[in-house]
Amino acid sequence: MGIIQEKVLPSTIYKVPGLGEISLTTVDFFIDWARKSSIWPLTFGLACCAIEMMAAYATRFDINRFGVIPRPSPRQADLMIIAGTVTKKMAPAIEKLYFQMPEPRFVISMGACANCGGPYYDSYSVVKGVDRVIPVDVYIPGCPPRPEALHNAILTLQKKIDGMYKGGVKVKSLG
Amino acid sequence: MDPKFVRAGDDLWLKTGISDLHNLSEKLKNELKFDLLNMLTAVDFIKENKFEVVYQFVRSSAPADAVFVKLEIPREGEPNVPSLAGLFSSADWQERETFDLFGIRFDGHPNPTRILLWEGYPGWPLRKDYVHTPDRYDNGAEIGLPKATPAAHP
Amino acid sequence: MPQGTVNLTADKLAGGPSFETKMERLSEHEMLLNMGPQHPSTHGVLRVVLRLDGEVVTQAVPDLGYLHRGVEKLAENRTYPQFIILTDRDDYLCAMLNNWSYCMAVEKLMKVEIPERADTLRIIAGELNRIASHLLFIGTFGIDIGAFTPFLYAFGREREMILDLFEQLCGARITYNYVRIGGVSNDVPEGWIEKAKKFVQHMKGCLKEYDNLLSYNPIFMDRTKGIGVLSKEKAISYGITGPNLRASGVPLDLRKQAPYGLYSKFQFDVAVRQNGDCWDRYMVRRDEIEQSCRILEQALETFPAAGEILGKVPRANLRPPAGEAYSQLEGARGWLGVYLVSDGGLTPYRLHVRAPSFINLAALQEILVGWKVADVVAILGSIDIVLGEVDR
Repeated sequence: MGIIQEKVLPSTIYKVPGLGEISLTTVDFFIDWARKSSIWPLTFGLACCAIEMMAAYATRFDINRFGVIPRPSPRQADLMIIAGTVTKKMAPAIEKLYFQMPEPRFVISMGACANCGGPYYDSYSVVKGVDRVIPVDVYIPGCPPRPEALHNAILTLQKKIDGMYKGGVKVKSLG
Repeated sequence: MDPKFVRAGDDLWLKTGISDLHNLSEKLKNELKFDLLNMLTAVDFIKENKFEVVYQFVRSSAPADAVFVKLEIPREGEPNVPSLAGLFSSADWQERETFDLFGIRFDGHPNPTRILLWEGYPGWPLRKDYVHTPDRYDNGAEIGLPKATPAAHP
Repeated sequence: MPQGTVNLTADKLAGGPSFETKMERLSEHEMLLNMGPQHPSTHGVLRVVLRLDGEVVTQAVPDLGYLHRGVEKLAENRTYPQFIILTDRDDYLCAMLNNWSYCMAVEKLMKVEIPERADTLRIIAGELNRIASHLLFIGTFGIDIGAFTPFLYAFGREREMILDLFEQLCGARITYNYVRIGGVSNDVPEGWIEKAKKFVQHMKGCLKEYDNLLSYNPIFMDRTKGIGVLSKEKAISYGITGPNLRASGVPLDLRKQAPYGLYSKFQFDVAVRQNGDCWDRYMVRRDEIEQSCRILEQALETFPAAGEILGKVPRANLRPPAGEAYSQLEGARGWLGVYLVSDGGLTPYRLHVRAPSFINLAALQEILVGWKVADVVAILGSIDIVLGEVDR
């Protein structure tokens, strides 16, 4: 495990001679901290926002410093970033992928098309917002949003996860 | 019926009929060396009650040489056109796309199915009198979905 | 049921497995493998249904339409300047060239004169965008083959420099809305030309780095040389254009043989290779970056010191005369054309985009047969498609 900083966990750190340091904290805080510091998204880009998502993963903006590692399989992911336009043909696949992710799972809707249909709002084959298909946690406006906006969304999601276990939500579910 | 030459600006346009299309394309490909079928699409002229299928042939040795061919077919019933998929492989998908969006059938096409929308999609979206059937993703107040508006084009 | 849940067992997937009726019945050692629409290597939402005999592909059927947004129908509901933003999002990797191709069609109808400064700016922006698109291709093709490092250099360093230049020019990184009907929207800011010149010199040096990292890497060459060969005749029959055609030995480039804009002023070569395999398709794009740098050098050198950036075009209520026009240009993936029918109103009557990726992808059905599953990824990557353009 890495270095535990004092101000992250409300805990007491005891120095044990010969062994090192021991930190005492609550399970709630620890689980929330672990979950928010290792959000692993599914590599799922649909359209132009996917390119900005790739830029957010790449060297200049580097999302890995937040603990984010993209995973190709939904079974190993806990976040789905819907980056791009959701069409009616693709919507059942998105539903299936969402239900394949193990809980707790989160969804970030990136870009105007995923939020509300975007510039294609009056099209016959576009779903006006991915929240008609799956529940969304964080929305990012923009067309396309800058990579820093995606980082901001990850930080917002971290804030949202922070109060989860403590607030009594053991596993996030739909009902 | 001989193809008629019609000039529009700087491009060379030919008008032809359904029975002549195959022979004309063969002649363009084999004798005149227009061997690249660059574009294949359709236009819906609802006021004149016709579809126009537009083809563009280009010489691969000199791409500045291009010939456009227009084919007029009536709009009623099941409009259908002979397929060029045997002569030009690029006609394969472009004809499927035209069928998908307009409902124009191509006789002799090896795989006459929809390509962009799914099987069972109600209607032909790019027609001017297309009325959208709301499905399970269209719930709530919809804005701007295409309604049949032939009157919008005076 | 609470909002947002769905009864999955009752719902059938839209676009259900209609392929089985068109394929022959599978024998005992064959299987159907579904690649996509969510797949790390399909460059977007493309579904390819592979019929496999062990590892070898015996039939491949692409299933498109997962990004079909109905752009051609939306065009009938947008004014001519409003449509430019939708063209950006068709081929989102070279959006400047998309804008330009649409504006060329409208200008052909309206018979507008483009001022020289605007035309040079279009060429500079277009070539920079072509380089950016090819850099992304180098990066993602490397990842498909398994080489992760070139992506960090090509995409993370050089392409970001180009996007910085674009951001200073027009404010956006990917979807620019820069090329407008009659010219361009913004003039160059102070010092931009010098920065662009410095970038071009830097880019020419980087190509050597990419050659060392990827192009002549023995593993890369093993995985791409001789794979997915596309012959000249088949390529022409399928209507394939752009770098894919030039890799099969046909030296066809619209900028040379049917020049538009001010391309006839500039000296450059057409990058051609003879074999038509994946390696050649990669090398053609790498050579094209070099040639684009040459064009950029000349264009930046001869950039007009003063001039208008927008021709004589009405600023509101733009109505082209009734008629039709088709214009095409050499995009990063092939010939990008727009067929426009106008009835004299504020919105187009019919607009069709001749999308190069859509037409190039048709050849996939034939090229993939006989190769192994790992080669499928290499071949699909080397054709370099953008799903926004394929599905529109």
